[in-house]
Order: sequence, then C-alpha cells, then structure tokens
Amino acid sequence: MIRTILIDDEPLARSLLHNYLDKIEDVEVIGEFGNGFDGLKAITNLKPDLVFLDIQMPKLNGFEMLELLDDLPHIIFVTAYDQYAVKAFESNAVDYLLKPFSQERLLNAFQKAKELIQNSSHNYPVKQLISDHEQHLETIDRIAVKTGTKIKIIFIEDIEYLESQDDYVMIYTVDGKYLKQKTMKYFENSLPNESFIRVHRSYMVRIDFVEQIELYEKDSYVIKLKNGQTIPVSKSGYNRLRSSLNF
Amino acid sequence: MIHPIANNRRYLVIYSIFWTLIATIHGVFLFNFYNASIYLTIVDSFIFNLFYAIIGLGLWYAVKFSQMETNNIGNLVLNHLTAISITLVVLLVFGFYSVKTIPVINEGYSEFFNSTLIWRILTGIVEYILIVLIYYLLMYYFNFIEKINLEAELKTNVKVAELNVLKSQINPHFLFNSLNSISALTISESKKAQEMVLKLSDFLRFSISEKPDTIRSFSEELDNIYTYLDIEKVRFGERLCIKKDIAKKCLDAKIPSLILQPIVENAIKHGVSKSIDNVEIRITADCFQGFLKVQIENDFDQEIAKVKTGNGIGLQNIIQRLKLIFGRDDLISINGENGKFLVTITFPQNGIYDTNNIN
Repeated sequence: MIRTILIDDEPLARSLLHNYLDKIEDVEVIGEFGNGFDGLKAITNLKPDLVFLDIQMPKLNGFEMLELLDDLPHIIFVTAYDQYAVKAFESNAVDYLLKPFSQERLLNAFQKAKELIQNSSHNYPVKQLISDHEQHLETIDRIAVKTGTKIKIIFIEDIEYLESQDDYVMIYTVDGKYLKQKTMKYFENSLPNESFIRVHRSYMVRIDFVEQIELYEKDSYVIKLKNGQTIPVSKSGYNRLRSSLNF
Repeated sequence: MIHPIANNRRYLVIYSIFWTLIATIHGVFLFNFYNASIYLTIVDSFIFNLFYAIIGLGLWYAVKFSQMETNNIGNLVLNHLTAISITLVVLLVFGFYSVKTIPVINEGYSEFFNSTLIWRILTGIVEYILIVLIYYLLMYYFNFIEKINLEAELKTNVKVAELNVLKSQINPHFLFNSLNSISALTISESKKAQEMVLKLSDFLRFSISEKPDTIRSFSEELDNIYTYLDIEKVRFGERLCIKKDIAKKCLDAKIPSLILQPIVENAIKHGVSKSIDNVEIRITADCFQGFLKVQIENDFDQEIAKVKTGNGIGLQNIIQRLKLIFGRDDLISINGENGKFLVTITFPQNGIYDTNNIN
C-alpha cells in the first residue's frame, strides 16, 4: 500500500482527490491537511510515501513547506494555475496535476509515483525541482525558516543583512539571526534589488541599513552598518552600490 | 481643406453683406469725389464689386496655394504679386467693358474710367489684402479647431485604452479552482454543482461583457460581488464569512462597473486564502451629500503577511481608474492595522454621467 496524505486548503478539492484515490487499489490515504504548517508536521510525523500538495495555501505555501523538510517524500503537485510551477515541473516533477483534472490523469500520475516508490529510488528530484522553481520565481516577500522545532516567517522588511556560511545563509534580522539552507545567488535573485545589494561574495545588505561607506585601503571599501558593524565590500559590490545609490 | 465661404451658407451671407458695404463705399466715393451721376454710380459700383466678389471667392485658392508653413517669403510675395496683378487686370478689363455695354452710359465713360483708374487700382489692392488676410485667418482658425478636436479624440482614445488595461481581469486562479470545486461537487452533490455553474456563468458574463468605462447602479455591482463571494464561499466553506451593511437608499447610486471587484478579490487572496482562521469580509455602504461611500474590510493573519497599503497592482489600478474617471485622487483610502485591512472609496454622484459616453 502506498501511504498517502493530501495537503490542500480547500475541502472540496481534498474530497475530490480522496474520491478519485478511493477507486485506486494500492492507495491508503492516512491524512488530510489544510495548510502548510499542519502538512509539515504530518509529513515529519507520519512519513508518508506520497503527498498530493497544493501550492497556494495558508501559513506556508507548498514550496516553503518543502524547503523546511529534510527528508522529502514523493510529491505530486496539484495546482490551479501557476505558470512558474508548470515550467519548473515539466522536466522534473514526479508529476503535477492542473485543476480540474480527470480520474485518468490522476491514475496516470499515481502510477508514475508508485513505480518510483517501489523501486525505492530516493534520488528523485524534488530538491532540483524546487531550485528550478526559484530561478523562475519573482521577488519574494517572506522567508520561512526552522528554529528548533518552531517555524519562523521572516518578512523581508525585517532583514538587515545576509552572510553566506558554507551551504547556508545566515539571515540577520531586527529580532535575531536565522540560518537558511540556500545560496547567496538565490537571495540575490529573489530579494527585491531596489532594497538589497550584494556587496560582496559573502554579503548582501539592505540599503536602508547602511550607515556609511568608508575607504578602508586604497581602492578598497567597507560598509558601516547602522548597528555599528562593518562588512567588506568587493570591487563589483562597490560598483553596484554606486549605480544604485548614484554617487 | 474645402472652401470656407462657398460651402457655408452663413459665411456666404456675411460675404455678400461685406461686398454690399464695399460697393456702397465705392459708390459714395464716385458720387462725391468724381461727380458721377446716381445712375453711373450704381451701375459702376454694382458691376465692379460683383466681379470682385466673384474673383474674391477664387482668391481662396491663391491663399491655399501660398500657405506660410510650406513656402518661403520669396515664393509668398511672388504668388501674391501674380495673383493681385491678374485680379486687377481681369477686374478692370471685364468691369470696363461690361459697364460700357450698359445703355445710356455714354461715350464719356472712357475718360471717367481713366480719371478714376489710379483710385481703382489702389482700392483694389487694399481690398485684395483684406480678403487674403481674412482667408488666412479663417484657415488658421479651422486648422486650430481641427487640432483641438483631434487632440480631444486622441485623449479619449488613450483614456479608453488605459481604462481597458486597468479593468479588472478574470483571475485564472479563481476560475480554475472554481472549476475544480464544480468537478468535486458533480460527484457528491450534483444540484449544488449546477448552482455553481450558473453562478460562475453569471459572474463571467458580467466580467467579460462590461465595457471599461461603464457606469452602473450600485445594486448591480453589488449583485455581481455577491455572486463572486457565493462561489468563493463554496470553495472556502466556513473560513469565509460575509457581513453586509448596505443602506437601502444607496442601491440606486452610480458606480464604475467592476471597480470594487479587485478589492473583494484581494480580501479573499490576502485575507481568506492565507489564513487558517475564519475570516470575515465586511461590506458597508452609505450615501450622503451627493457621495456614495463604500467600505470593504477584511481580517488578515498578521503573523504570515505584512500589509502593503497601495503597493499592489490591483489597488494601483483602482486608484488610476478613479483618477481617469473622476479626475481626482483623493477618493480612496487604504488602511491596514491590527490585523484588519480596510479600503474606503467615495464615489461622487454628480457629474459621474459625463464619462458615461466616452466613446
């Protein structure tokens, strides 16, 4: 039996999925959840084989939820309309279903997932899929991070600066610092570039948080932040600062 | 450009009066200073000025041919010197021989004509200048009017185009999610599925058929919003609560069509669909002193969404539309505090019809 959970915020959408799945023999639906928080908890606790996942949901959306998981189950996305998702999934997803979908279409997607699960192929590419999604993504307005057992939503307005640390990025905010498993490149692409500047290979700052730019050595600069801290500025970072601040 | 005088009866009458006046002055001169008889005076003034009036109509083409924008000064002077010479020669030759054919005008007319020749040439030149000036004035006046009309037309076209862009579009997310709900209902509750198909059709028909500048009654606009909310209610169930407080006297008020739709959609998108808790959308309306005031308020989850008042494209579009239709930007206020998002719009009721027939 394929242990399956459904995550979608609309009861009718879940009931349709449930109804279709009831007609497939090898499926056992072990839970239904209406938002990203509950979904995250359920995936961690129940360890399902397969998840049908909506993208637009309360609290955490489907992508934010997946970002916070260490072990990914097989995912079939179920979405109404998402041009980025469609693009991203075309090559990599186990499958994606566009609402409304038929029983046959669902069965087809399920067969694909079942094959992957029974071959116990763990190398299936959801991580890849998420990063593809990131490349198409427009600017983000919040970031979901895990702090211990809790989930914290960081609004980008609250970010002061970011520092890369190996495979992670440390996000410094008004109320503390948070680690996120992402690349600096990702943040450079997805934070609004009118408010954030990549000033160095390892640093990105919020423009409003810059106190002043100081000459450090000949041809070399540092930024003094509003909290008194200084961070280095690379040559290309300095050029970016110049062009966006017009000096 | 067509002949401004020959093709306009009113101008033709004025032109005739003008020449009658000139002919009278002509007569007074001949009678008083050249001692012509009454009979000669009348015949001479009538014939010469009739001829000049006819030639004068033709001078329009000389003016049209000599527009100041397309000719240099040399050309202009040459054109007018040619025109004035031809005019005077034709006028004097034809005038002289015509008058001579009239009986009772005796042999003495030739001497009389010679003695008045200089005077005739001088007045002819003055009259020529007068006519040409009037033609130039008319030409510029008509060009000016045409330009103003063209500009107004252009402005209207631009406005319609802008309004078209700003008009709320059917949100595909809403559409496909609704279709999915219908798909689900066909399995369990076919009656309800049919109901929803009908509502969705009503809503789509309204949204698609509306012209962007249509002004309609507040009650029609409200009905459409209620249809929309009914559909969303099927999707979200308990999570969506709607509270209405509409003053009855406001139902006939006028309002640009579909202008509230994006606000209600925003309330769903940022309030209901992002929150786990039940979210209330409150619609209130009141009328006072020639204004309809509509407020749409919704709760939102402060933990997961920050409010950006007026940054969204939807709200920007409404602000732009209000500006285009009413020419004011103080009609909308947006407020997001303490987990409540409130949009207030005041619609002036006077003068709202002016834009009704924009095209």
